[in-house]
Amino acid sequence: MDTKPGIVRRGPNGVVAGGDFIPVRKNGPYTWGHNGDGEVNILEVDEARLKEELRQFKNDCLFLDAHRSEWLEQYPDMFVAVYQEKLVGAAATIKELMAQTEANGVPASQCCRDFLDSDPPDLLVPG
Amino acid sequence: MVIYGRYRPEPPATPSPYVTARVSFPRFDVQGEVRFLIDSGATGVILHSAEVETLAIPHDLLRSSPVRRSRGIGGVRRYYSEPGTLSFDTESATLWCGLDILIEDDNAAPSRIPSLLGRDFLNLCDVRLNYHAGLVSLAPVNINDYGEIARQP
Repeated sequence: MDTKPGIVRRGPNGVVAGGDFIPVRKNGPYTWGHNGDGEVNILEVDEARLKEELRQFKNDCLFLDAHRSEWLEQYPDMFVAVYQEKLVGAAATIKELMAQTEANGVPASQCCRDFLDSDPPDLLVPG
Repeated sequence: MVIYGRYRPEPPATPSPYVTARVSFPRFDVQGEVRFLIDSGATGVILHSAEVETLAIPHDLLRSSPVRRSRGIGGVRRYYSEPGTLSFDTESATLWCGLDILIEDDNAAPSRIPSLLGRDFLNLCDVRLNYHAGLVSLAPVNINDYGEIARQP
């Protein structure tokens, strides 16, 4: 495991706020820590696991896009989720989708998700 | 090191450039993967409602974060600004960047707008978009020894 200084909160000159960080928990590829002053930070990263999970997500997005028109006919105006190149959920709301994926032991935050809009807009102008 | 994305078909709209990243918020012990639309028109990195829900960001804790307002075609929207990290996969290594990420207020009507990779991050990179060549690439200008995409040379 590689050790990296986490840089989440910076002072005005780019200096890392707080002092020494104490590891408190591990969640996925990251180990979080705190410094006793309410500051939290990423202390360590499991590079191999992070890389694998990012690649899997990218492949899942490709898989979803490849099946999008087929699923649009089956699940119009629903959210769908793909994990490890399998459809793992289809639901009317994100909350229902999350419940489905979690019930299958798949964290929704690691699925590629999309809304299958039966009447998509002609233009996308986010901001 | 280069972060590659791709054009995604969004019929009937023109295909749009996207990249994928791991987002994490240490204060909430929250992380997950997000597909970002590359948007040089957006000021910052923005998470919209679908990602806010699937990442299970705790809105009660988020309310202590600074509020930012955006003005766009869709009118004014409210966001909370929260320190977080983005991690990207490249051919040789993972890169990461610490920055303030804007999180859509959960009181807003669900927008179905994609999450946006705006100028806070894009200005750290040499950005190349070439639809005809199928090229979406972000080459960070400064990467330190820790794989951090840094602001200063």
